[in-house]
Amino acid sequence: MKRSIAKRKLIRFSGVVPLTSFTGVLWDADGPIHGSIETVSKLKRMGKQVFCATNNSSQTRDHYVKKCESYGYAAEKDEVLCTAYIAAKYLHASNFQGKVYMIGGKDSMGAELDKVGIEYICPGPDPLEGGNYSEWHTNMKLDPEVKCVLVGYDPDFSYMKMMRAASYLKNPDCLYLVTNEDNTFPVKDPNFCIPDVGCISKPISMASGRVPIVMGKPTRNMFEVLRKIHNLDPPRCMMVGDRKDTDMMFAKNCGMRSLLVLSGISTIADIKQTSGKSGMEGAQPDFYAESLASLGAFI
Amino acid sequence: MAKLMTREISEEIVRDVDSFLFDCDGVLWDGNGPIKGSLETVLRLKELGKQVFYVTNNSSQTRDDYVKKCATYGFPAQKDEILCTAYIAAEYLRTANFKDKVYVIGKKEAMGAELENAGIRYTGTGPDPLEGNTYADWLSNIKLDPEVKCVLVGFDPHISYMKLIRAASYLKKPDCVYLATNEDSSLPVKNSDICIPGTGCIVKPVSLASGREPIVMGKPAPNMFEVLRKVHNLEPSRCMMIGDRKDTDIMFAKNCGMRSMLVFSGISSIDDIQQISDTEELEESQPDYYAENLAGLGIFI
Repeated sequence: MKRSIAKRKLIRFSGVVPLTSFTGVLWDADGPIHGSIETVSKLKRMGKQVFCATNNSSQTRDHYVKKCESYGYAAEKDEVLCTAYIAAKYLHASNFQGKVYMIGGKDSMGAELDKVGIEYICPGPDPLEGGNYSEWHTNMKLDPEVKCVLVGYDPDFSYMKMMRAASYLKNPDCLYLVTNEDNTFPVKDPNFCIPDVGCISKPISMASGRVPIVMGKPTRNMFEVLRKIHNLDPPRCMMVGDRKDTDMMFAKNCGMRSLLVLSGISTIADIKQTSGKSGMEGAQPDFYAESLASLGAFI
Repeated sequence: MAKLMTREISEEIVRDVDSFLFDCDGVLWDGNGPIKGSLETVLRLKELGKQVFYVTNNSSQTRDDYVKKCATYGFPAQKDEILCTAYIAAEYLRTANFKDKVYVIGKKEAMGAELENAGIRYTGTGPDPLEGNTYADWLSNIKLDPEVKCVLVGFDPHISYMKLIRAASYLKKPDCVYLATNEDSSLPVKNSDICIPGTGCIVKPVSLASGREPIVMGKPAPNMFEVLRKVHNLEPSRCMMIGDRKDTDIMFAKNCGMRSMLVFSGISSIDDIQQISDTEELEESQPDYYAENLAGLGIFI
């Protein structure tokens, strides 16, 4: 059931722990979204912990903390989750031994793996050397210590990287982790396309025949980390996001309440769409509002 | 239900089939070299007066390249007995009277060469690395050619993030045609620790980035058979397709009304043959016959 935020409902909000996405909720390509920063800051002044969970795997947690600060929102590092961090935490928590073949940025995924002491091999740009398969094979020396393929955002992705990753994954004991499976970054202008991790991971899955463990929304992994550390109770949490297929599905998968804001990718047509034939696939939200400021106006 | 090739069945085939169409990778040769017994089988079929055609989804070679490759291994092949997807894509555009430019994700020596042979202008082949550090930099380096009215994707070992952004940008226009040579996910390399991603792994990111689905030129689409049928006056009921993949080769045979045989010398194995007790409904892509390899037919004829 989707309902617009009504003052009555907000009185019950006082007990709820908010989680929010970044892009489309707090900010977008043009800067902070009007009223959003004020709303989260107000929530913090009320004594609430506000968590931020993003699928973006091109940055570290530190980057997001600094970005929030630059917009005037004092987020704590512990309150910020991004998929590069979650992937590193997942491996660390499962006592991972061995090397990771990483498709991702040295300064983001690499930095998060460094922090938990996990060794990775990440060749940066990996251009073709040679003109045919037999030459490519000769140039590809698989490292027997690799026990995990980790795929995240990497604009240097290449055929060599696809071939290496898929070859490592021929070994069924090699773990396969992907930060998220979004095909593109959400952008409002329909003339732009920013390919995201899905464009890299899905062909690797196709070539190798393997299904990855996905770190980001809509899977529960990011919430599970928060839940353990902060002892969260799902029915007393609310996820605020701008996408039905990631944010709202994430809320549903974790047993949280959900608020869809229309300040990002989704429009009112997505609210009215119940059958998912056109518009975004995903879960219907419990509530919707123009933006986070609409919530802020009532609290 | 699929039948194991036997002497009895092979006699029926020799009687009823005039034209044999062979997939190449995983049937005649693979990443390791020629497959044992395949050449002898093809030569024997020629001795028996049969027509032999080579129908491959591989988009990284031209027909001329295949004539040379067949000659290297000893397979008898004239240019018009070979169908490959770089050729069929160019042929498709030529017969559709396409007069604009094509943005190609593919090899210049293959896709580029076949488009040139068909008199079609193209752009985009070769390495396309990132220049600059941010999305804004990358986007400012894209100068879209207004004459491009088609995006054609085939095997391209130079696939890159920039190429995805370019292709997706062209495909934003609904009147820009989106063609793909084939969607095979990998190439067969038996008993190896290497996986060779196929053209499907190049097409998929373009489809995901653009949100569009391509018109596929290769198997299982019947395009390549249509060309052979016209040129050589083939009768589908007297043709047989032999391949190593159900979703391309066997479905192609069914779509064209031909008999089909699946061999296990490439991608497939006995696990791909549905046993009668498995489920009630017969899988659409089950072959008429199967054998370990092409020699499994050859020993009987």
